[in-house]
Amino acid sequence: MFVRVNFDQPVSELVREFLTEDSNQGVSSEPAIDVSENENESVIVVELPGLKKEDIKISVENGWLTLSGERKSFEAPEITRVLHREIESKPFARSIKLPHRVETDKISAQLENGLLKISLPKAEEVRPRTIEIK
Amino acid sequence: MTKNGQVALVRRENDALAKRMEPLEEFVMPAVDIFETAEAFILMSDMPGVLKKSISVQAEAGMLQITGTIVQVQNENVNLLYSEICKANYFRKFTIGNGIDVDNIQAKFDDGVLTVVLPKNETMRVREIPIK
Repeated sequence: MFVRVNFDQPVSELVREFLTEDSNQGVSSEPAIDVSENENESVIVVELPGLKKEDIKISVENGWLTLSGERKSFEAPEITRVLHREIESKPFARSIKLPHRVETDKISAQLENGLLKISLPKAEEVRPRTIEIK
Repeated sequence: MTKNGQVALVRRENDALAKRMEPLEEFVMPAVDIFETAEAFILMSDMPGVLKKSISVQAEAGMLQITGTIVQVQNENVNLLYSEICKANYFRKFTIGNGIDVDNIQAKFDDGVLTVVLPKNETMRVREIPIK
């Protein structure tokens, strides 16, 4: 997991967050996301390395998109020692407020190289229209 | 250290050295797990957003170096509203000892995770000595 620093935050808060990080263990983590849009759709990209599509659940309800799942930790019977561990395998969950009305039936998602890409087609009424001058 | 007093073979290289060697490029260190089996060391590294062909794994002079170049997922006609995903390339170096069979290192990339298998050579394998 990468350390992300918000530079607008006072240093005292950063220190406090750092010191209390351990107390968050066991609570689900939030994967990093990007949100972008064009005329016809919004796209949410989620960083989910090491996950199979059957480990991820996506649901849409009341204008919120919710992602959840759990990364299975790597296990092999022949492992005799763990020398170093940085990769977390705990449940994740994240809810994202949809930026606009979405054609719910046409939402699609694909998982590739550890990135989940969710396409949210805009509902007809929020798409830009060119108005013809008569 | 192992119970035989051998020095641990795979050790995290310190950041300062990595930075000195790649001064101009911005990169992030991918998270790694390292496991040991009777036959090999297994290194797994999270590299989401990288293509298999843009990954390089190099072993040279006691060092293992992994790099991965990020692919830009955004198209041109797209307006980025919010961004948390780090777009820097991945880079990390490790020292490997003499106990690794460098010619037979194998790597694969699945679901955004790079797995490198570093087989032990004869000097490193644990031998069971039968009692006569």
